[in-house]
Amino acid sequence: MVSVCIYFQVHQPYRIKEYSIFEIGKDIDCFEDSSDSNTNNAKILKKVSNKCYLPANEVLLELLNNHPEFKISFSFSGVFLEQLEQYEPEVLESFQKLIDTTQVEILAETYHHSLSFIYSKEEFKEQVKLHKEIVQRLFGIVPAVFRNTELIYNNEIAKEVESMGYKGILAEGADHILGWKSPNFLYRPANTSNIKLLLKNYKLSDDIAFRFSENTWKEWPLTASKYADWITKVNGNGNVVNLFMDYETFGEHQWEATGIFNFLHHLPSEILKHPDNDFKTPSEIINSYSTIGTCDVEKYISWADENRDLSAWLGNDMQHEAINKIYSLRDKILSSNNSDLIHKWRKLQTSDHYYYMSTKQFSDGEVHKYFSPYASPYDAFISFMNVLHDLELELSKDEIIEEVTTIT
Amino acid sequence: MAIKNSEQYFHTCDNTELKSVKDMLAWMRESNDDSFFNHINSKRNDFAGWISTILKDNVLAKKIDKLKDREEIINAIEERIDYKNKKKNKKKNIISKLKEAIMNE
Repeated sequence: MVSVCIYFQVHQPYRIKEYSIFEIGKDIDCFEDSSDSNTNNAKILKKVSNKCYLPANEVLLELLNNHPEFKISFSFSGVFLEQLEQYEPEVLESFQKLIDTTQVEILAETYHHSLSFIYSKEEFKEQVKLHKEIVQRLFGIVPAVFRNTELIYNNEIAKEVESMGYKGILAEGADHILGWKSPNFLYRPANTSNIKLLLKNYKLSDDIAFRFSENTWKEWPLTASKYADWITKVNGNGNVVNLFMDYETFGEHQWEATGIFNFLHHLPSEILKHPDNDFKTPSEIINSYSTIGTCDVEKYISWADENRDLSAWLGNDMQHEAINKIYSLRDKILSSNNSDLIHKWRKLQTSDHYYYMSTKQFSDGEVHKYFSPYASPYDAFISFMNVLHDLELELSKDEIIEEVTTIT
Repeated sequence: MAIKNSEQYFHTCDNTELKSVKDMLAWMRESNDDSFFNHINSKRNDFAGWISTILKDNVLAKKIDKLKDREEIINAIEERIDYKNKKKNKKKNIISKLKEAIMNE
């Protein structure tokens, strides 16, 4: 029996608009941009909703209704859900309809899609708690399985997440951690006792997420029937095929004209044609299969780029300076008790801000350029640091007001 | 000898399952450079690891662990298979000769 476990990541950051030094201290909302640029968050969300979220949700709802055996899972960042509530409530409703089928699991993550685990365990736990609250409020679900931002993972994260009560965690099935071992089984993270590790089958996942429309690829065009055959071949060689990808694959990264929706539409029926295949959510996988061994991951891994490490966010001095600065403000920000400031500070922790500052070259450079709304990594850094200075100024103002209030 | 437990198969980065040294040899001959050198590079040698951990052939594992060139690795595996086959045949011959001797007595 091979169980197909699908997880879609759904995330949109609050992009910072171009923020010059002259705007510091002028009480300008750095996340509010009504221009036609790509830092207009409402505009981007509308575009992606029309190209991806709405049509993909429509296809999935039909599939879930027609195939009660079809199961999927989503991980929504909190900042994405917040933007849906703010700009696109209709899209939020369409996601709620999917969850109502009871064939969909929602995973836990950090509300702000941040790298907080690396810098502050307390901040990490707080953001996971905030995420749990928004998922519970919008969908009535308490997540039981965790996935960290960008699938960033190591033994320490697994241990912490286990202590927080989660029964499973997702990670990249990176070659350098697996060696000859297969991602098609469950593993026990090193130094843990109960939590189970689900590893992404990156080859099969990336066939859809990255190669689907590549007409130079020898398997192009990829049909649902051909893909289902590849999945079926895992029978006898593994228990699970973990297909993890960005939801924006459907319609945004792979445009509608590539036939991606048609592929999605036929995928469940093609996979279910084989009696030994089924679909399971991450929780069902964990309940159905035992671990076959320990997986020891000392250094951080992620699902980004070819290196599968942290270099996409923490690969140069600009990125380090920006992120060290943001986390150094934690005590001051939290003690201000100013919820607006705290929320703004947390929105600046979203990993995308640091990704836009990446100067990685070669093949990955194109990927970074594609996803960045800024002309260059330096522009991203300048706007970010100006916003950060503005935040510090607001914090000082806040402190002065509080002091004056105390005196008077 | 083919591995029967699927948990112990060598899972290649192009999603092929290798169950024996013969499978490995065939894959090594056919795989592209990207896939091959994904498993054998300056940081690790997955073939040596699998041969040692699962197949328990430390002689071959040690030999392969030092090699980086595809042809050299293939030759080393072929030589080892050849050596084992000869050893097996020799053993067979001795057994059959012994059997023959017993029968003749």
